[in-house]
Amino acid sequence: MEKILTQFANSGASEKAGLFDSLGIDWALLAFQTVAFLILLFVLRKFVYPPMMEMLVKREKDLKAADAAAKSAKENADKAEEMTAEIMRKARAQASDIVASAREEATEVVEEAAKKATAKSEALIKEAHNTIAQEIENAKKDLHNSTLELVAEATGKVLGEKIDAKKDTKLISEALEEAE
Amino acid sequence: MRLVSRKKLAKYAAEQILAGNDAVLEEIAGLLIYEKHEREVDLLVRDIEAELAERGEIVASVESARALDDSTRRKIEQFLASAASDKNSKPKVSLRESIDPTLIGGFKLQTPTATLDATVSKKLNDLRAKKI
Repeated sequence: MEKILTQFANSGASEKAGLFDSLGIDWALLAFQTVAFLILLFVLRKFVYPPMMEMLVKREKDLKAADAAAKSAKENADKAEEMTAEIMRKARAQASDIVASAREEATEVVEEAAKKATAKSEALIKEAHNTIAQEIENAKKDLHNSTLELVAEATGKVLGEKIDAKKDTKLISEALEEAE
Repeated sequence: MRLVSRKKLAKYAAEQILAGNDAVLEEIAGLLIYEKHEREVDLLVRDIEAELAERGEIVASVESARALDDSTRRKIEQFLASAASDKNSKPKVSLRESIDPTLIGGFKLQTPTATLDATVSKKLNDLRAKKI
């Protein structure tokens, strides 16, 4: 660098031709390289860039199509998700209605069953009371009748043993007096 | 079909008995057998006794648990006589006595027209009849 700066400082304006030499530029080589570059550029533009551009364009189109498809798929997915959510919401609402209705019906059934059971139990209790009352009444009658029968039988036996001729005569006399 | 009614036959028999013709009973018995009305003998006897009672001759059945003594018998006869007597005549009473120990005590008196049951067994049966 120091050498270059030194050479540049030491050279004058008169030495323009030597400037390129001092810079190390070879005109022939430069021309040759320029031609080679242009040829390379021509070849690239002629044979490399078009298919590459075509490929890039196609790639871009594919990417755009894929992007559009992705967007469409995403939209469809979103729609599907919304539909699913709507269906689920409706299904939940319907299920909730069904459950509420079922609970209501179950409550009604339970209440109806409870009413029937209560009525039946009350009828059974009433019938049992009637039966018990009837049985008590029958038992009282049986007791009354049995008592009468026992009293009559016992009285007959006792009187049969106790009544002698004298008492019998007195009985007859009293009966006659009563009949008169 | 019988030729003479039971009522007329009883009336005839009663008149004959009161007239002292006891043979009429055999004739009536023969008639009942002849007419095959033996089953009516009890009814006929009752009718005859009723006819006799109307004519002042009371025949009564007395059932008792023990044999009646004379005093009791007289009381029963007096009772019957006072029950059937009117101002003009005093009926004659005949007792047909029977003993039934199942009566326990008291007596049962039956005339052709009335019955007086004053037995202990009757009272006991009345008590039994009060069954519900």
